[in-house]
Amino acid sequence: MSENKRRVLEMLACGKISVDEAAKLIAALEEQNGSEAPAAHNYASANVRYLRIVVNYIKNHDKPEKVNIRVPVSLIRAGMKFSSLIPQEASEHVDNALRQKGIKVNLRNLKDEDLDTLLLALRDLTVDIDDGRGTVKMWTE
Amino acid sequence: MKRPPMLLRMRFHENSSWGLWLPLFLVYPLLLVVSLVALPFLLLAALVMWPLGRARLPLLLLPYAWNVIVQTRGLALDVHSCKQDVTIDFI
Repeated sequence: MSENKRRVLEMLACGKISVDEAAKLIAALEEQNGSEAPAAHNYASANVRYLRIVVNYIKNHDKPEKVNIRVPVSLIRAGMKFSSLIPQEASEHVDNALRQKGIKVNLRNLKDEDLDTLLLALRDLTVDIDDGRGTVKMWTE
Repeated sequence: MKRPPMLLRMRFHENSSWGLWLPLFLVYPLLLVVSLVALPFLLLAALVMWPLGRARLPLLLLPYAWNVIVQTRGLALDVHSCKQDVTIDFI
């Protein structure tokens, strides 16, 4: 709970303000917090420039195969904008094809805010997948 | 304004190693000509598709496609396998 909300509740407990006034103040504080959060969110994700993906795959005990990809985040955003031009019927075909491959993702539902959230999460952590045959590492920089 | 990638560097290593620097900046004047030729057709398509509510596609196709090209600067792909190595870098 924020300090401001606690203060409002204390004023209500002391009888300095009525229940209606307290509700109005809390609503105003929540509105203020809501408008500040996306700006901070965007600022944090704006610092992320690249998405790095490294895949190490060991095939038949040979020398491991390694794929190292550096994707500019701005390219992902541009690609998402570009994919918004895909007509509804065509995107349904894409979704069906993905579903048949076991990928249940609707690409049209992926919004810019979702990408911000994902990048924000990846800024602080590295996704590390190891299935015994190979590893996938993903992080942002 | 962000600049588009000027060079595409490719390196291959199989039995022998060889590299290639593609001057992408030479492609952009050609793209501009193609875009200028396509522009009237796209505007016409937008007019035709306007009543169907699908004018967005022809109107935004060129700017969005150009945006994707511009943002490829910095894209790098590096593949090392037991048989060959491939490096692709948009500079």
